[in-house]
Amino acid sequence: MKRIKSVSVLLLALCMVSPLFLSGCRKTANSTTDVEIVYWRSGLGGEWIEDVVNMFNESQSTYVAHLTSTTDGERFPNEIERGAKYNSVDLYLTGCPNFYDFIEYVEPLNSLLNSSVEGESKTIGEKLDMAFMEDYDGTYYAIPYGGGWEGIVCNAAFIPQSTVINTTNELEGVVIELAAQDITPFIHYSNSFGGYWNRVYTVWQAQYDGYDYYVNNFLTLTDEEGNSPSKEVLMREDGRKAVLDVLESIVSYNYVYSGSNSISFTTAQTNFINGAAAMMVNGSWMQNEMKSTDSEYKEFYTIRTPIISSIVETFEGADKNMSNSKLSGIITKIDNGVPYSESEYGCSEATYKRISDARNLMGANFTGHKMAIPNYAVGKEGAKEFIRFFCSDEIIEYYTNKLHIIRPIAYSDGKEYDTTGWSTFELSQLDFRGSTPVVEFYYKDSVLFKHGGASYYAKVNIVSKLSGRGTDYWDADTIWGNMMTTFDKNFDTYCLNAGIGK
Amino acid sequence: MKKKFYKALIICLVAALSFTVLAANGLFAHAGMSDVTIAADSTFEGEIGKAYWYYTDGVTGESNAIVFGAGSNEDSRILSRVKADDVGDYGRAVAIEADIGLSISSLAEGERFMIGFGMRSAAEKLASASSTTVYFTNVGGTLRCGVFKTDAEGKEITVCDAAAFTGNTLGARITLQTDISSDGGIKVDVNGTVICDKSDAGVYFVGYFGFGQTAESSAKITNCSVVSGAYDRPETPAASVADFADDEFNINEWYTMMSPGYYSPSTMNVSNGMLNFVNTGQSSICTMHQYSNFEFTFDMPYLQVTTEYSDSGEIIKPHSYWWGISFGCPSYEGWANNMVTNAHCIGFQPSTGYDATATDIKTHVAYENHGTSLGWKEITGKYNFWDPANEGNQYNFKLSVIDGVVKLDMKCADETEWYNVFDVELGDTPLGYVGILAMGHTAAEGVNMVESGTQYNITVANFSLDNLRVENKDQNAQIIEVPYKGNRLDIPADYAYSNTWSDSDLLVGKLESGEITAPERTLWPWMIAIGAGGVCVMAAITVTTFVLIRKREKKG
Repeated sequence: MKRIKSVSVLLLALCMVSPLFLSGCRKTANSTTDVEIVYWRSGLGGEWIEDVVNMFNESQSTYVAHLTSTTDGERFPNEIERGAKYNSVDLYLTGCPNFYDFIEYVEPLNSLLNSSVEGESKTIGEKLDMAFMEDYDGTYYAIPYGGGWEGIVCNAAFIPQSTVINTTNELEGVVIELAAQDITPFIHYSNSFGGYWNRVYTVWQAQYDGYDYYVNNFLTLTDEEGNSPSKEVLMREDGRKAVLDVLESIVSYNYVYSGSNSISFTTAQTNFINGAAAMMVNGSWMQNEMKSTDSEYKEFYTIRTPIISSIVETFEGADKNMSNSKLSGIITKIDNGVPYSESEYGCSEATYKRISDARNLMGANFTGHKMAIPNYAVGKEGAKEFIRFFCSDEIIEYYTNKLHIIRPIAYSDGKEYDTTGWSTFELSQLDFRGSTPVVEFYYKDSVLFKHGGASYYAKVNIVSKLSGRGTDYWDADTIWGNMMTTFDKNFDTYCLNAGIGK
Repeated sequence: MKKKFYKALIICLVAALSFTVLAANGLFAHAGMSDVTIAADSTFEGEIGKAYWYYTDGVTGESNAIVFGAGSNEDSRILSRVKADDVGDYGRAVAIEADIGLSISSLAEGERFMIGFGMRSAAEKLASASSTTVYFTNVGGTLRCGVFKTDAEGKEITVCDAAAFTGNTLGARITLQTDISSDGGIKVDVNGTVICDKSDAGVYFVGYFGFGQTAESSAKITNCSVVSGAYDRPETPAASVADFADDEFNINEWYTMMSPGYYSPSTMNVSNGMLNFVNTGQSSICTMHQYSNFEFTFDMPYLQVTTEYSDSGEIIKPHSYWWGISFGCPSYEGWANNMVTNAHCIGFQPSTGYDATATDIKTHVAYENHGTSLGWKEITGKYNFWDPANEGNQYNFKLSVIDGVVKLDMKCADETEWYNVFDVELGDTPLGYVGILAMGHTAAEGVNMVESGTQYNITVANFSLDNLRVENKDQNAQIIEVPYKGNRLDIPADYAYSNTWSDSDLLVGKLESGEITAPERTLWPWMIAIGAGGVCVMAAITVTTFVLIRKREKKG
């Protein structure tokens, strides 16, 4: 009897075990040769990446890439900490503001940058525009795959492309003229940054304060003696105040599309494309998203972000009293590449340099679109091979022709991009190549901004407030006063929250 | 008695204060027939408000005044950013009323300090084409005031010659009143002296208002109130109607939103010819067109008056929480909260607040404009929604907003006379979407409240609506056709399944026919692994079993 039982147990066990082995016959994606890619499908759509994955799979026989396309922008931060046992993804194409909070799980890419695509003479690092590579303590963890230039997009039907908008005073003039013609100047959508307005007003802040100060002092809250975090820097009357003064005169309630403070991005952009307003802060991806609309308006273009007129306050000597028309004239000469001489420009060389540097600043979010590999990924070598392929001349050409967006990467042989058949909007974006990007520098932020609860404008939605009506309206001085009160009251709390116990 | 008197007095004062705040905040608001504040003292309190004024070098804000001073020149000017329009065709006789207090301390002989109307843009110089100018000039050390207009070609045409007035010494305070009628007449009064009164002057006023000068001056504007009118005519259907016939409504005209509430079922559905809010959190139905002058009628055939409990005393369906009518809403796609804080909202609220277990509930009606109270009242008797005696009552509502007058009436369905809830003169007619919102806690909030032991405070909406109709009441209304699209999802017809497979479709068949081949290259290592694994497992189990059997045999 016992033997019968034993034999029964044996047979049963065998039956249970067999399926486990049989299941092993199916080819799993979590192998060294399978590259599991998760792509955040945002403004660029999904067709292009499907094509790139197919091209990769056809280009070689060692690896097989598998694509998962998702609108969930939180996949990377939600999954990366799970580790190899619970996360089989080998490569993320993701947006993630606090990317560097997860750096211990991300594969360094320095060696990849030093490698090159077979048959190409330059390394990946030499092809990439390093202005868009985030040097995190000497290590690079991500390569941009998408994004674009950001700025004020104009509808050419309302604002001819020949209109000179070199300065914010001239922008205000355009706004006033549009209003006089009963054309709504601006539209934005509802989010905590006034739609995409922060992509412009951050540039104004950096122009006013100087790029180096903005990056190395303001963002890091470091004073001139190297003290950080500095309450004095946080509360300094700097470019933020200048920004508020500009916005106050151009985004007031009667200059903004009614409802901008409560509509979604899609609604705002659709209305803009259909002529509801003359201008909207937007990015390179707008062209791709316009394809599905059937608007009577076809001609849009992005202007180089005008220089904040109050920058003259920061000049030295007589240049401090420079008129706006003179400032605009200097900008035109700089745009036209006129070499500096005091007689030609009528200002000091230092002033010329300030204006020239400010003129070269432009909003961009290429770095907000990161290709990154979990350092525990089984298929990380394959993922690197995919990135290498993605940086090849073949894919640069494909991507550019498909999306009409130029990534911050160059052909290995210096070949120019073919822009035949590009729209006015797409061509206008070309002018920004070589600009100093004012990008999403989250990784440079002070810990008070990252983890302490502080924010540049004390969590006041400045565009929403300045364009509000009735009790929702705050003027620039009220906002500034509120900021100062908040910073003064909460600075110690910010420090405690950030774990520095000040 | 005294208490009641003081209570009433306080309410009146609060209401008056609220209206004052509203008036101060009414800048730029216009739609239907509305007053438009072109300029007000509050716009240059402390500093000159950049949102309200465009100004050039030479103009500064000092001590609640606009100042032209040293360094100013012939280009110095300040203009309001708000445009004045001609709405005479809509019945407004006085196009612009301007009351200005100023002083001019210095002005060169023959030069002018100007107050302009009708400039083409807010950056335009005064006395530009198609504008009207009231000016002060220095003649022999005293001021005189005159009026001219500039025609479309830029030619200056005298309307009234410069004349002296009482108190016209340099530096003295001047009170200037200017009325411009919609048919082009103008009346100018300086310190009580009528300088100009011409009903057929044909002056220009459509455009922007401001101050300027022909040469450096020293002038200070301490008071400036300029009011104009506006009339908006948004494009709408003649009427947006949702009667829920056939359990449908037009989703090109009406937009609904809801967040689930804590209690189940939580739905917003159309059935029995009504729109039903069942245990919903924040939820709403809103027009998809902005209205200016309109009349909104609707019925409320059902409202959950009292809370239902299970036999064991647990809440299973709370009484409905507060609901409201919103208009002048900037967006139809925002949450119900947006229809309260960013719009005009008249809300009907249970006096006991959140508490679903409360009894003896009164109905409070509150009217707010962007969160600022315009007053409230308690309604009793048959209009008290939460009185159990009124269970089963059906209500009709009628809200009209016409040329700045808001009037809300209600009645029971079996009545013929309307009861007036509010009758408020706003001065401006809000432009925006119109809808009904219901407030309630979300399911997630409900879970937290249960955990914190305050389940009795979980609120939901439980009521039904019918016969919603928003009718455009604008003069010369701009009516558009809106195609009908029902809210029902297109449900495809059942698919006719038929069995079309044959034995040859089986994998075995395909392998035998050679249509597909077994992937030997990748399979054989697995076959070996399976075999080896199986043998190992069998061996392990066999050994273990034998060991166990032997042990038991020894024990036995």
